[in-house]
Amino acid sequence: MEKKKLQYALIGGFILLIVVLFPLVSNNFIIRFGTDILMFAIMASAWNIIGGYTGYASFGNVVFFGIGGYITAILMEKAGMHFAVAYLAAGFGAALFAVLIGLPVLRLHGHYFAIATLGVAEAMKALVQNLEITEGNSGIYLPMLDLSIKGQYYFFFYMMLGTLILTLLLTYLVLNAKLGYSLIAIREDEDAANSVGINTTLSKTIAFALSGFFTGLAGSIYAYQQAFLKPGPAFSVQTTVKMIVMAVFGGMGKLFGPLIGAFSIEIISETLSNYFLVAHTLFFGTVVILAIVFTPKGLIDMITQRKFGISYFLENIREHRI
Amino acid sequence: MIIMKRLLKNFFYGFLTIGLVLSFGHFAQAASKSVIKLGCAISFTGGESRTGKLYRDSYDMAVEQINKNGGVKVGNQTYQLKIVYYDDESDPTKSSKFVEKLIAEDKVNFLLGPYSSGITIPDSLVAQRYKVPMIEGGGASGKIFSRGNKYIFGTLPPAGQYFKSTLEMLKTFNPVPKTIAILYSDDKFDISVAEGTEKLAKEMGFDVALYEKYAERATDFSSILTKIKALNTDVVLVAGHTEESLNFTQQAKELNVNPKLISMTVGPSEADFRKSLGKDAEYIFGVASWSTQMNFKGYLFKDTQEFVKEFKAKYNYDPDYHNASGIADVAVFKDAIERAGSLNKEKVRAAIASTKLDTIYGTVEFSENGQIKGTSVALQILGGEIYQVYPNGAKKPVYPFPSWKTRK
Repeated sequence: MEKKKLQYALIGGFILLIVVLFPLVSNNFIIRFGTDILMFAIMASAWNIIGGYTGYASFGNVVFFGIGGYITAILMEKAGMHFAVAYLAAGFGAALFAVLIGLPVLRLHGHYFAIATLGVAEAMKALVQNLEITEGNSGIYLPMLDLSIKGQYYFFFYMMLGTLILTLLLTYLVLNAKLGYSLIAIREDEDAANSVGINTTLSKTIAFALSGFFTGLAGSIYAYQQAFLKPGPAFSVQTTVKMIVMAVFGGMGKLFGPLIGAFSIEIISETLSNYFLVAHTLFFGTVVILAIVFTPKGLIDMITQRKFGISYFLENIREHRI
Repeated sequence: MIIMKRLLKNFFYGFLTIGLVLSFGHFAQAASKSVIKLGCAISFTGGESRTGKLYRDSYDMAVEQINKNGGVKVGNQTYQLKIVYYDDESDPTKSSKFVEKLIAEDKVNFLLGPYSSGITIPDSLVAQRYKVPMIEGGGASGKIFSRGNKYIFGTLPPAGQYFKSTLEMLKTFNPVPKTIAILYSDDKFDISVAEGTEKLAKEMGFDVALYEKYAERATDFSSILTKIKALNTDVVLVAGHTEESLNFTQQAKELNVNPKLISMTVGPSEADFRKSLGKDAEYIFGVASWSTQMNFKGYLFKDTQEFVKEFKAKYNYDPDYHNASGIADVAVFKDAIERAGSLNKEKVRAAIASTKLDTIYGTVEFSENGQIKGTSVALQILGGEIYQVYPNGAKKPVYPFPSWKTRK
């Protein structure tokens, strides 16, 4: 047991070291590509808290991303604040919003919850499109980061990396605390969890707020990196779908699942679009379908179980009766 | 020991994978020396893919035409043009990422723009960061040019300039009309048109007697028309959509409102509009930044008509202003590179800024902020057909309007 732990720690530390040193030996585009992977890893991991552990499939998580981005844009552009302030405000603002809408919306279950969260994101998009302070549908500029080109790439990469580590660390702590067990209990059977004295409303709301907090932080860094924000892309349903696909692909309800999902999905999609200018979306869709059919528990299951091969795939299919 | 062995094996496979992934990018980089690479991340898929295709077709056609006719001459050397494309999936995040890839990995010399303003802005910021000039034909929003970005040039005219040629035309009439009514639908584009027109009209000394907004898809214009009748304005300018233009014209006739000139942004140039209104469409003015009926002396092609013919033969559809704008983008690059006599990005940027080039799209000249100077023209319906009447039109404008009652 001790040996195994040591082994994991070694592998983990080594991977982290590679990731930290990686920008120093890469060209700018590869760093940017890495930054995008980290961003989606944050968002997929944040979705995992509410979708994977708590079992509430939120289809509106992009709303926190958009809110984080817009809080950053408004504070920096209109109020002239420093990014550090805007970054924190984005996280806490998104978390506050999660609490406010979570109280009514988290009473819903299953499909109803999914549809309600989808509606929240769309409504927020419409609101932002029509507000004066967000400069409506034509979009809002942010001040550009005043560093050398290389410096800018390092800044955004390490901001995303730091935020991802924070996300995973806090999720890990939550999982090993009472809250984590409450969440899993809610996922397995909410009524039973309620009857044994778990304050399900409180637990769910905290989970939703945490999910919003980290997604908001990602949105904040994204907005500063792009230096321009528009309601359509900032509140795009596609972004939510991407978070979910990554989480499922990598392994829902596992700490490192979404991270692995984000990494592999982005690499696959990038490689495909390198080779097929138009058909890449078709192939990408096929890959995702195959993955869901053969490894419904996600890539992480394959990695941790050290199983790979026909028998593993067949076992999965039998188990899930596809 | 076993653990260490297994670890090493894992790492070996890990490195192998990472190495494979990283090496993918390097296969495509064997380019010959005499090629100028233009980078373009544009929509092949996603919401903007239909219009994105119009630009790609134009970019390709212009490049083909240049390469066929001797390429681009820089000093004593000739270069062929080549476009490196990526599909941005109509997503601004992807688009800006691919622009970074074009610059950092594909080492393109210059950039062509994507389609739609919302995607152009993040892309233009990357161009600015790397100081690589980008010419775009697909973003008209003033926002793109509002931040003093010196590396972005756009060939779609600003919405606010749409009626500029019409206002200039008014000045040539005798007597010069004095009062103007501006009506506009409440969508974003028309609001920009109206705001710009009001400002221009005031600068040119006209009296904007009526400035009124109506709801998009409005069908009843009687209250607005009554106001126009009461104010007796000389000129009525309408920024709206085809249906609204139709309704407005019909009701103007019913209520016998007779301004000396009516001009509309959308409608008059469409065949449907003229068919539906029949004789009542006569003498109505329109504006367009470009249409297939125009005839400008070209740079890559002999003239607009020649271009339209060749384009139709090649792609089997009628080019519209998107296509023409795309052709102009590539033409401006060729002209600017040759004038700069170098592939140096700063020199070419300066050359682009001082462009004055006749293309099938019209004369391309950029304002201080990088956007093309308004090139819209005034059109008029005469004898059931639409003609360019100002500037240098095929026919002379008929002014003032014969009143509804006196028409046959």
